[in-house]
Amino acid sequence: MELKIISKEDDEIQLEIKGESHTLLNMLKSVLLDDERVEIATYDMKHVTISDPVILVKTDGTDPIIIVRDAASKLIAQCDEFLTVFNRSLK
Amino acid sequence: MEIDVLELSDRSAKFILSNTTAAFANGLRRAMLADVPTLAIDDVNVYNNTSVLYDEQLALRLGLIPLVTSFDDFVPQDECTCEDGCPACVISLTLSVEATADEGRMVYSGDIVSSDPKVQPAEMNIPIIELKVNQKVVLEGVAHMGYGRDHAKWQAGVACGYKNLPIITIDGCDRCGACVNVCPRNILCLGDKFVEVSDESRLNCSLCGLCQDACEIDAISVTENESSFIFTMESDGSYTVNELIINAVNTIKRKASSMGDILSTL
Amino acid sequence: MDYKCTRCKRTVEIDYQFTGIRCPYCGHRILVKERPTSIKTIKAE
Repeated sequence: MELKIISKEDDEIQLEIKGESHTLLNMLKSVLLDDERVEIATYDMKHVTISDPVILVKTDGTDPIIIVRDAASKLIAQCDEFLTVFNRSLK
Repeated sequence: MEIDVLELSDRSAKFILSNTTAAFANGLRRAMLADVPTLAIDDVNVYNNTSVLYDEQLALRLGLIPLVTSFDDFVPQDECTCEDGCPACVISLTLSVEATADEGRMVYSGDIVSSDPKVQPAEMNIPIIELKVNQKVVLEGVAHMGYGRDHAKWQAGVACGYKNLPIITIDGCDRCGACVNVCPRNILCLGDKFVEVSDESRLNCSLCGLCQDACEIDAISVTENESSFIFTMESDGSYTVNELIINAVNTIKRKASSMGDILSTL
Repeated sequence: MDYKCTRCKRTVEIDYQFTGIRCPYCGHRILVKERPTSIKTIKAE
């Protein structure tokens, strides 16, 4: 996975994520939209085999890189919650 | 997040995942299909093939045979630290069968001999090719680990899907029975005072809405629960279903954490 | 290059310029090329 910043301002960032597809991006977008500090969160790609996705995040003023990092941590927490609940339900 | 397991075996599972988003359910489904790596035969060295299939057709059939995989013991060859192939990224399997001079025989996946005892075909009875009298096949298959998004032979999950949990509410029913007759899956039944739905049959509802259209007093309504999903999935044998789900979630975690690591350097 | 006659099933060596494509033992004109003994590596896709 490689990240490239296409454009960055104080409250907005466009980030190109190479080597990923809807699997990670859609989950990330959904976690970002749950965050109150986020005004716009969306991603776009032409087609998964020919282009890399670009994610756009516009915040209320907070540094957008911190927000995307928090979203990645929340996604990891959701996955951990799933694993705990899943292992418990197997018993 | 809650999970209610309805059916579970080595190869298939059905469970209800509640209090989560559709994005999470879809990400889990996509990871199970495309992002969990499995082993499959990738290169075939053909020493002799006098059967009726071309070498390439035979190689395709061999590639599609699912091999039992262990997630922690093997890595895809691009990610392996060795230069040229080592037991962690390359496994050799051989197939050497000859039909006798009297009668032909069918070659099954159970005839494949693996160099690593942990890596075996997941099913022993997959027919590969039928050999007629005196035909023989001698070849060596080299198995690599790969991702389902590159070729279907590396796809670990089979028939992974989910649907929203149906919510059927009945209010003010007059027992006319029109909805019971029109339901294509026989989910509704006439109770003493009004039409009833049992909890198990509610899961079979296809949300077609025929009962809503049949009811003249609008007493029944069918909607879907936006945060609960009924997951059905099967594994092709490379992993057990439990391992597959856990590996899929760990793959998503690994992607998110490598993204977080890169972001903290920016 | 080894060829096999489809009628008498014997391995033949043929010589294009003088006798043409013809089995020297039985005169049949349909020959089958033998599979070479080299190892063929192919991708399983």
